[in-house]
Amino acid sequence: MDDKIELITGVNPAEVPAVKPAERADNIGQFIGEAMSDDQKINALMSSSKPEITVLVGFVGYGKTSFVSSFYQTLLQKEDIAGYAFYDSETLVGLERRSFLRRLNDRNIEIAPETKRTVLGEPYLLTFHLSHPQYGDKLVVISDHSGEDYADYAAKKGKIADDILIKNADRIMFFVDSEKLCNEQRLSLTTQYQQLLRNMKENGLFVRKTKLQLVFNKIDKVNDENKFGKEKEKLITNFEDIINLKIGQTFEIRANSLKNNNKLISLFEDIILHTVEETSNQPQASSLDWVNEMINKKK
Amino acid sequence: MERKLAIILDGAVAIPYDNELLTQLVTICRSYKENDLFVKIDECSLSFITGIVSEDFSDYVANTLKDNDSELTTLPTNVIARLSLFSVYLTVLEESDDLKQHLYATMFMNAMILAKGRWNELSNEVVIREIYKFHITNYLSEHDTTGEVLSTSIISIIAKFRTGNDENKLNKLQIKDLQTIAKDAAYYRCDELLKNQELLNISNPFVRVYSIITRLVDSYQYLYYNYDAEAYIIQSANGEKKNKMLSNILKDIEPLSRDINTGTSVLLRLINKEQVKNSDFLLQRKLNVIEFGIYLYYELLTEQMIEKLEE
Repeated sequence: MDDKIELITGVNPAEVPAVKPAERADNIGQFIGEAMSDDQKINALMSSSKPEITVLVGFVGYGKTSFVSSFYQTLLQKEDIAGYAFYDSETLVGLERRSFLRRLNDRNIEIAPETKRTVLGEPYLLTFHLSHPQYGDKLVVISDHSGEDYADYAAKKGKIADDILIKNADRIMFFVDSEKLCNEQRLSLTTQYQQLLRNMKENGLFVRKTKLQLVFNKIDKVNDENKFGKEKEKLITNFEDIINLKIGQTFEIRANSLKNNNKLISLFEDIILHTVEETSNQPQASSLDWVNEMINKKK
Repeated sequence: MERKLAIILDGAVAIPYDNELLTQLVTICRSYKENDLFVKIDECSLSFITGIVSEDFSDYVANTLKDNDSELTTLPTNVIARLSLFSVYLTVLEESDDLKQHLYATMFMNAMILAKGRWNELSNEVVIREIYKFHITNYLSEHDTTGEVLSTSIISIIAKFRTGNDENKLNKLQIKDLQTIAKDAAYYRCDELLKNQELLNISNPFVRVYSIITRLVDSYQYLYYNYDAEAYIIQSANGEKKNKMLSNILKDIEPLSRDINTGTSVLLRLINKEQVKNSDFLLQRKLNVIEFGIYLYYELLTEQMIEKLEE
């Protein structure tokens, strides 16, 4: 197990995550696979709690794969994020493939200026097993469909109905190319999103418990901040009008670089810590303590 | 029941299971150890409460799903833990024998001591509360219909008996009176025990409550009177409100403890120095004297009732 971790972390040497060998024992042998393409397979993943699902939505070139690569890269480079150490994945090949060119990019090798993007029909489900010394393990699943898939969902009304993962997502992050939002491609961006959102709405894919967020990527390529601010507000209003729900949070990031990028790291922390919020469904301390209830009745 | 299971699994599975799988799981949970339901309740209660799932149950689920050619065979631990709760729920709700039904629920509630101090880590509060409705106290208050008003007439009749055949002269009504006297005598014995100076003089309140409660339950010749157990325990505690870490309570009572026959009870197993899964957290929790007494009392009572049933 440790040699596998060293093998993986060796590209960017980092401390081995602080997870005791005994805690990892059950998962030995999972460093094997390509990303998954069957949503139902998530139910077969071994986890001590419900997998936390984040779906990245966006069209070609909006930076979803860059984002997931940076997430993976950060987990490998840092000992932990918000106390959670990355110790396993069923989809390591898929993650590595997405990250390969990113690493070259980080090392200023010019043959790969952009992260290779996910292509149509490619497996898209990526898993991250994380462990916290106090709070235990959690499984984060990120869906990184290709931009073409979403273009298809926007163009063909009923197609998105088959995407059961979106309906069951804990968090949906809509990626927006901030550069396009400020130039002449803005119309195509908004039109495509309008179509997609209407199709999602018509197919009942917006559930109240899902966190909806807008991620304005490539923020470093925005030249006119005033214009960006106005277009951003217009887009948020547009989204909320169509889906009839509030967009919870918005983020302005550059997903393709980890250098001096605290905003991106904060977003990663948010994904790990707050994708599934504690619900009011959790028992009140007193309600299950039948012995004290008995004593109080007697009083 | 499929709907109930779907509710129990909500929050444990990423994508809700389809009806076909839910139906299979209901059947699996129902058929698991159907010949030994007390063992099933013990195993499944601990699986759910501790989150350390029973390998037997886990294997049974996996093998049965495999036999059914299900696409999904190995289920995650958190799902198995919730299936364990569902198994308990199903067994309690579907039991036709009133006493057994209440004993299953009480066993589950006794095991809940392992969740003390971490109640909010458990899921499915509503389902758990449904099981709670079947605590043995509810059975006793419903079934113990023996009157408590002492009939004096029967006393004089019995007192005048002189030959061995006199008892044949008793009519049905008088036998009912005799039952009342028997119950009254049982209550009187409890009261006398609670007045026992030797026991009351024990200065350590945990040792005192332990001594009184074990002797009290041992003295029961009939287990199904609706004894006012809480009042007995409060009286034994004698106003003491001290909290103590369970590991220290166990040390205190160690010189007195004897091997108590237990198949299911957490506290009794710990007293017997038997291994209990995931009990480290509990051993560090503080209990007050009355809490300790109530957990102990219902474990002892449940054990005795199960023993009588199995005789």
